[in-house]
Amino acid sequence: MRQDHSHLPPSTPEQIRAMARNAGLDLPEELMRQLIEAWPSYEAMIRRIPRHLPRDAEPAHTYRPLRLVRT
Amino acid sequence: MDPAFLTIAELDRLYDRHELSPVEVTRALLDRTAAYDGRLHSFIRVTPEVALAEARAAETELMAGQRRGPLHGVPYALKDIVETAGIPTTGHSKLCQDHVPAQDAHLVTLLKAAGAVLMGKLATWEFALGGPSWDLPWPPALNPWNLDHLPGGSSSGAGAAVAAGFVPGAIGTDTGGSIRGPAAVCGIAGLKPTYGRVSRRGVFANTFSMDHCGPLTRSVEDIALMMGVIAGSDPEDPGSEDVPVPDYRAALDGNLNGLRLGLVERWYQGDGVHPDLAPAIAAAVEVLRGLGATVEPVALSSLRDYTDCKTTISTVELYAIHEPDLKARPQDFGRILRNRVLPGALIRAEDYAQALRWRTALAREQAQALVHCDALLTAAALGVAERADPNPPDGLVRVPSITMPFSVGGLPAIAIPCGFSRAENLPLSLQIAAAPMAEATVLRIGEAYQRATDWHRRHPALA
Repeated sequence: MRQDHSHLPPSTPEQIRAMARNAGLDLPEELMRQLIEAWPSYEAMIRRIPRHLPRDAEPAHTYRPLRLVRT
Repeated sequence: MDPAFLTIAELDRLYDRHELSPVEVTRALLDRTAAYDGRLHSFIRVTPEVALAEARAAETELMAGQRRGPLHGVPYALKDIVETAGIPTTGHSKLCQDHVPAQDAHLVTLLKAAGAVLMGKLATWEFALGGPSWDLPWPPALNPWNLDHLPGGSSSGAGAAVAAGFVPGAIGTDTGGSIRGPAAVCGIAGLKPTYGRVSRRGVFANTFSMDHCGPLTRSVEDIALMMGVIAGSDPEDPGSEDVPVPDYRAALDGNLNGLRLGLVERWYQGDGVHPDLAPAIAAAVEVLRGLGATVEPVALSSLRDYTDCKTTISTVELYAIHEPDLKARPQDFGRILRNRVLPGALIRAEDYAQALRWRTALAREQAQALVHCDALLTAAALGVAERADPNPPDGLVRVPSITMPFSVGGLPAIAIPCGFSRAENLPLSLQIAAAPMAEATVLRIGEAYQRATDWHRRHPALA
């Protein structure tokens, strides 16, 4: 069974405003309201990401120094 | 002879026999575009001066017997995120409406060297993600099969222009399905090559680790001809792979004997899937069996998993690209793009890293499946072209995508028409994917299918 974060409660509008502020976003109120409306789908998405991958599971892009030398 | 729906391969033969000339073809296609694109909006910018100059140059060389290859004198167009020296490249966005690149994208350099004729720059969703949008400097493209419907996205203009007979081929880009989706709902062929097979240099980034450039055409044979020009290593693209390019056209032998195909049925079953889709795919599978292939079911992770993984990675990378503008001038983005990218500011680094690790696991699952079969089959879209609604609900995250699995895997995948819906008379599409760098296998299967069927020979009536 996959372990994820989907059991967590959705963020409140105030929490979303705080996260946006922490990210350095200073949006006009209308655009902030749009973000508050859009965020729940994204929050649900990232909370479905599995968290039980083996310790040695590599990310899909790893550092390839030779490629940088070539460019 | 009206060249509107001639394929690249047919133009190649007619040029060879001097029965048609590049100038004649280019003029006819420019006239057709001028006559009909006012309603279709597939082009952001038509470049008649460039097109006619390149067509004249091609004609002079062809008359002198200096044949460069099968794209010599063939008109094409570019999604407007592909940079063109001296010609505005806008990303269909107010932010770049005055952007005139100094250099061509690498693939444009290759197409010029092949003697292809640039007809213009094509509509896209804003920065290849935000659309369809009605709050941008240009209207969204519409579907030539029915102007009340959309041509998919984000290579929306490419799908519409090729299906409408304005150009025989176009270059699109595909991060989560932006070539295959428009190809599917416009009834044409569209190939997302392997990640690293075609250079991304000079193309606006969407998601660095999943961006692909590729062709949209009306036949699989034409895909092979365009890939023969644009595929190859580019040392200045950090994602480019240095793998020899085969003769794609030579792989098209019409013979599928001994080929093992895996059918991923689960992805196009259930709620929200068009009722005519599964029967159309089943009929296509029977055609492939009749051509000598064996077809067995294959089980892979759900579309939900692939969509979550891809979209998490994309949203973060998109936000990183657009962060300065989103902070300084957020109102200059279209509403849809802004609302798809701003969430990237709130996604934590650990979520991004976990999604990247998940991607490896999902890609391995596909690689494992491809040990036992030569290619995977499924649908290329879960329905027909959507209606053109200026205020649609945003389904990007909520509705799983059937093209994203092969974006996650970085595999070559093609969409080809396999029928029409009964109620709407709109195209349905089959998707074929294979192992990394096995574009020739994908094309061989698709072309054999098109030898046996005629869905790709049906065209919309614009008049």
